[in-house]
Amino acid sequence: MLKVMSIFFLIIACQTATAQQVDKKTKDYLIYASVYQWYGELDSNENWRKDHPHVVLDFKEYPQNSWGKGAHRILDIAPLAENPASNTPPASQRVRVTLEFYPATAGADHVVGQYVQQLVTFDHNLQQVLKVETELNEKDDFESRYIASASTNLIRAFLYSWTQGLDEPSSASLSHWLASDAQVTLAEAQISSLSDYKAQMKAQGLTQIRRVIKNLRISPLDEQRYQVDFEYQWSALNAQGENEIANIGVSMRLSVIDGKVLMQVYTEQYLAPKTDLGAEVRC
Amino acid sequence: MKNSTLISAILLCLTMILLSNTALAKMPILKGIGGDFTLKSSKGYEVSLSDYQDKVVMLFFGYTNCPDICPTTIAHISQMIKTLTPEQRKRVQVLFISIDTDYDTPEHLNKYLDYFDPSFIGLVDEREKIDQVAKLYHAEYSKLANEKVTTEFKKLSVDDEQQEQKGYLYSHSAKIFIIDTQSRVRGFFYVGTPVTDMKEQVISLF
Repeated sequence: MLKVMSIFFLIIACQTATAQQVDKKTKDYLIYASVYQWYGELDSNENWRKDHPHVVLDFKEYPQNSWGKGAHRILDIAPLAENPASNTPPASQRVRVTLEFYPATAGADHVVGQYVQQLVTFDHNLQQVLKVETELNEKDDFESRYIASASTNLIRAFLYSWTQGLDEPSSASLSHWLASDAQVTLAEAQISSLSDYKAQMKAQGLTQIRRVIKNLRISPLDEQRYQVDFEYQWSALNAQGENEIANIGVSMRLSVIDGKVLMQVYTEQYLAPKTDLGAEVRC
Repeated sequence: MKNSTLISAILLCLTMILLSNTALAKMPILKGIGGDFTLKSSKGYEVSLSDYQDKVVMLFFGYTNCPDICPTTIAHISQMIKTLTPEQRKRVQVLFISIDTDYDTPEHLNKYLDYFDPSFIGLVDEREKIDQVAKLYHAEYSKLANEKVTTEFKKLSVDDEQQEQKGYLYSHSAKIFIIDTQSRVRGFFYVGTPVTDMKEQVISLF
């Protein structure tokens, strides 16, 4: 009897752990967007001072502990869980960010980077950065080539916001990201615009829509324009409770002007589903 | 004593249910792949995918001159079909689309597929129509070389006087497309998929 009970509870524990692992892997795109946006603004210019007027920074990654040009290349974003026992919504959201920081040095192509871990506190709706505390700041024992990261951080922030907007049909309009002459082609041939897309998702009764970004490639075309290619691994639950999946190839043409991302071209197309390698064998 | 035996039995049942649910995850619906088509069949009439809306369709792209993957895969499917009950068999249809429009005919296909299972239906048509269907299913194929050969399997499918005729060799997808009763692609099997897994998944779509 005891043996049977222990096996039963072991299986329950394993299943719960697996479910938690799956859940942990799901990125909160709004948090990712806010983190990339913050470091993108910090790397662009000093406008962050007026956009985040209440932020408290320790500037520990910067030489002489004061802001200067630099590149924050984000390695990991780990949102910290707030007290689950509390009934009131949290007033802030804390995120532990691991990154490599490269200070811009006039005339130097190669610089010594720093491995940095910071605790970033956002307000509850992730609009304002309230505090940045440096927990770890270690100099590399090698030199790296300096590559500016302001635009790529801003593009990643845009991508996470855009994807979140597509995943949640009830969310705010995506049109403010589009240039006036933007061309948008969606994977579903019968859907001609973003507003049609949202209406279709609602009409089909799709829920738990999720697009996972894979194989992201950001290529500069010139100082302001970028070609962005990646894949969306799309999944959703249909009205009958069945799981639907798709592999969508995305190609974007963007420009980054004065810290703002604007999309000129957005093209989606269905790709062949990823399969077991055995199924790809050819004779 | 009796109570503890009863509780043990209930816990064991719950454990079995939990384990079986983990092992048999239902096949998802694959969007952006598949669609209806109409092609000439080995049975002498035109066949559309939509003709089989009450059945689970196992679809394979190949050709009768294929020396390895096609006969192995068709044999594998045939092995799975043999494990089904007569009632279950009625709810499954195997369709074999030939990509060798230069050589394969409905008659060749009929003879070839008869060796595996007479219920299997072969489909072949003009190159353009086959290309359209292959594109719908992302089932890429290409001619391997401009040299014609003949294989033992080709000889099986043609009449005696045609046995010396040679055909091209093709590289092609080895996927067995699984299509549910609403003509939606639900996944793929291949020659490495265990027969028991194929059977369980197919039955779960009835």
